Amino acid sequence: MTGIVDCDVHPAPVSSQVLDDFLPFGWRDRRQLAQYLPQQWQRYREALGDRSYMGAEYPRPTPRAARGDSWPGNGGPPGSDLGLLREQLLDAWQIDYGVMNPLLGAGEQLNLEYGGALCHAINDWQREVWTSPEPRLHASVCVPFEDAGLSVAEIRRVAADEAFCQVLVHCRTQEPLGRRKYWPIYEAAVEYRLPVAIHFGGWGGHPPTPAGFPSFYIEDTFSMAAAFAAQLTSLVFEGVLERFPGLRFVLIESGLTWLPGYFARLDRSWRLLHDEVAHVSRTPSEQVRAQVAVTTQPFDEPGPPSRLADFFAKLGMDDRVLFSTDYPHWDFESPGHGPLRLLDPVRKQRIMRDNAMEWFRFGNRAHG
Amino acid sequence: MIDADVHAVITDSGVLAPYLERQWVEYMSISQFRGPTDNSYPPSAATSLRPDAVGMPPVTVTQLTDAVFTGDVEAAVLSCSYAVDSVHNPNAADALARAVNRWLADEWLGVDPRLYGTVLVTPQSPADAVRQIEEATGNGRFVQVALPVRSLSPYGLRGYWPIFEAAAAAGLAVALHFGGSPGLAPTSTGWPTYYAEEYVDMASSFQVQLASIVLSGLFSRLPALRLVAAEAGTSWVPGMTWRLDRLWRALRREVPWVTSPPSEYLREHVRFTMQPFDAGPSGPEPDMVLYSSDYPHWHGEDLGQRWLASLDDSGQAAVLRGNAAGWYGIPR
Repeated sequence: MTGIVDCDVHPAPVSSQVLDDFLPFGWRDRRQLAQYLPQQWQRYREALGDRSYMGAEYPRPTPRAARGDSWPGNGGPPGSDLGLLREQLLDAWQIDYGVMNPLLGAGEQLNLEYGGALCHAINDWQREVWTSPEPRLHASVCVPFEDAGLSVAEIRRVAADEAFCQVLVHCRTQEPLGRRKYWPIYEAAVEYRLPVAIHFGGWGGHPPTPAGFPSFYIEDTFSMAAAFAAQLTSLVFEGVLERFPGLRFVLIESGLTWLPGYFARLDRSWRLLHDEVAHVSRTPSEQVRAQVAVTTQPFDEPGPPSRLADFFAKLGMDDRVLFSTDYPHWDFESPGHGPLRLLDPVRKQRIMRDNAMEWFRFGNRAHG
Repeated sequence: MIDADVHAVITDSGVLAPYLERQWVEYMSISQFRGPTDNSYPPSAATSLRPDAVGMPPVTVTQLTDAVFTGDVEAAVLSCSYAVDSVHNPNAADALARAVNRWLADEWLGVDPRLYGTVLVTPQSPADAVRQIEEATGNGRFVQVALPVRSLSPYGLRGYWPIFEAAAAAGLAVALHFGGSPGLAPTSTGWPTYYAEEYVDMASSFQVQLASIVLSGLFSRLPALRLVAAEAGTSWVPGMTWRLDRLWRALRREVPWVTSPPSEYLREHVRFTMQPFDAGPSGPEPDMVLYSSDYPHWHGEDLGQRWLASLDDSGQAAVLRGNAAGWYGIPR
């Protein structure tokens, strides 16, 4: 099929120095200062710059968790070469729109100010290196999401540019995303009519599972669904979805087969414990279905292909499921393989293209 | 019928005094430590107490047996979720766990032969937990060991294996039980605001614990190990097993000792108590479910009973008695 929208593409800088050129004035100033003071800024970035939570090593199944054939000839990592990305993804699969989710750790910097500077750099880099030369690609507003003030400032700085189609946060945060400290980010997202994407990964300083540190990468990745579930629970029970009716979320790389069972438990618990969360007036699963979209990759298949239609009927999110490949990662899902190609044509058209076109208002993006 | 999940509740640690060495009675008296506080069942939450359970907790033996042994119920598996896992003094935690087990044996199991016991252990100190299991099983009336589903580390970690080995050696099932107070946030994204969130998200703790145990290879080491997911619900089981099987197919080189899809191990080694029933219309597979009332906790309109009524005779017989009789070795 043609005209596909891919809601999860991962660009990478060719080298760690690339982003330096895009650092905002304050930090660039420090680098200039470093010419006079003994290399303070270079030292910060090289010796101290990317300081995040430590102590959770789960080696991936492939180098940089990437497809073996996605290493470009430019000496950089997978996802760092526009030519190869066009060849392997946009042209190969006739993708009209691709949503980039740069996973460069900016949101989980312990030094929040530095995290903000890094987001600033990443956003300018997306624009200059990716979306300007390749209009099929769209950017995410990277924000230092643990600091709402810095995040709002960054949204305001770039969101009017239609190259940006969503605000990006990570799934494992310091606090559940419904907590009040994050609300200014949502207000800004609503103001600019941008969905907030919650992407697989990140680290807010808590163990990767609610029962502590697991042993294996397979558990680390398995338990990400639990983090997504906790975020949805928080967004519903804190009343965020009701408080901001224009607010929309996208779950990226969350998997989706856990959702129907989760909805049953969520609604049942809301009825049982309603006194405590009396401010939540609408059935939780209805709120999620109205305001949350979910991407397809990795498609954690609900049994044999014959059960697919039954599963989607149970999910009840036909207009909220968005196709994604996760290029260039090891578990890339091509539009031409996998169980989604077996969907009926109507559903397939919605998932592969129409839902995302509406969700991101591609081709119809006058702000305000 | 066998009721696989009923509760003795301690609200006054004074009941344990006869079962504590003098040192610990003094320790608690001097510090005015009234025993661990645990908010897994907030006193006024709708899920904590049945509307007809007036004046409780505490629950007396008579109150409990009058409420539980109605109709065809002829046996019940009793546990006490006393939060020894939150006590960081290992000697105090050990003393409290052993005291609770003696109290259960003397004042509950010894009073009514229809009650079968659950050993309370200190998961944070596995070596002590092994001794707690050995001491309690001398009594002959305990049929399972309980581990709170929230823990400092996932239970598949080798440090916990001696607990499972001791349980298997004694022929006891191991229940992963709703709740726990290890001091960590109940989600991997921090502390939620509402109990309602904790309640929903507890299902995730069950999932990561079961994933940890199956991926650790423990079931290959202890082929006779029987687990119970107590008060876990079952709504999440299909999604969890699809996701885990799929990841295992893609990543199994990391865990080569897991030679079959994880769902196959779980089907063989895990059963689920019926309450709180949270499944959608299709419901769980009857072979996997142990009837339970979860007395004195409450689950609102009884979807579980409705599901039971929808089963055929053999399904009902399995849920109401057969599954638990086999799993716990409870004779007729």
